[in-house]
Amino acid sequence: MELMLDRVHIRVCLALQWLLGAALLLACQLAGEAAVRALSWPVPGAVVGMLLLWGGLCLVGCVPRGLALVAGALLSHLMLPLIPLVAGVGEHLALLRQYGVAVLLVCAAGVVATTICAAVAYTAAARRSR
Amino acid sequence: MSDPATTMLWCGVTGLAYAGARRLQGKWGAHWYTLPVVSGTALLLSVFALGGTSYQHYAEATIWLQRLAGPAVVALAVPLYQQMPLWRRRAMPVLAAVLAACTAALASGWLLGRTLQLPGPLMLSLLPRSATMPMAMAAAGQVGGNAALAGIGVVITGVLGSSMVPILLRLIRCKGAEPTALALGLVAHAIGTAKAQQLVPQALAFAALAMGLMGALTVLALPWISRWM
Repeated sequence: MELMLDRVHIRVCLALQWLLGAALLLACQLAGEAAVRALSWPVPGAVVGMLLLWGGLCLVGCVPRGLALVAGALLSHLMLPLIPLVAGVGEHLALLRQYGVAVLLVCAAGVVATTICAAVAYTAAARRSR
Repeated sequence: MSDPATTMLWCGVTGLAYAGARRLQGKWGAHWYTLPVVSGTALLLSVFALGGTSYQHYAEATIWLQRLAGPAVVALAVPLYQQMPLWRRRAMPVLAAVLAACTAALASGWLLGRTLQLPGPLMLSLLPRSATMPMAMAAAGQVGGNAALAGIGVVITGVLGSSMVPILLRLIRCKGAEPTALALGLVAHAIGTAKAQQLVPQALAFAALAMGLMGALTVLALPWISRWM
């Protein structure tokens, strides 16, 4: 009897931790959305929420267990909520047919420029700070 | 607003397409065509074609599924925080690389887009192509671009980047695990981070840190660029 109660207790604790983690994520997103709206700043509120949560975690110095669980679950299926949005590409097939090569070029040039700039900046700064 | 039955049907179909895509990825290995976004979207588009569904109808039915992307972006703070020890050790070089990479990505996109005379919304969608996907798609939508086109740009850049970055680094004679992982994370976000796990597992933290910082910085810089255009 006692063992069963213990098990129920553990389950309830875990569920509460999950809920708290999820609530924390939503609260950060809400705060981010509110900040973005108040400043009428065209930035996704979720990104500001992420920066807020990052700052909060740095202040606290550890990741609450429930938050780690919920974040892990969301991040391992990060692509699922994006698929419905990417499927909208079906609406833009004419545009992509017209500019397909240009799109590829812009992406490839970005890769070359970004890689070289990042590598040069990193090695230069690493040498100076050493 | 669509009714609950339609919502459940289309969220279920999307979930099945995603699960099928994950299964394919497990079976066929990591290629560009087995990325869940690519194969899952292809499966979904073929369902639309077979059933004659309009995207408008589908998008309305899956609005709640799409809204999960917000908390997922907030959740990226957790892996970013877990790289803090690395951040303390290598703050200056990492910061320099992120700033340089963000500037290079945005400037090259803007310059080349101008030269090739891309229409404004398409160009704005392509600018955040080195940011991680949920961030890039949300940011493009906010500054007058299109989320779906931004997603395509992000996937193409990720695929090209994860194969081109090691070759480019060899060409400019930049050796070492740290810059390789860092560049992979900066250029090719999650796809590059997966590549870094194969190539330089000892420096994986650099790729994860780079991905988060690059995404945030790109998204914060984008409104200025779009206003200036």
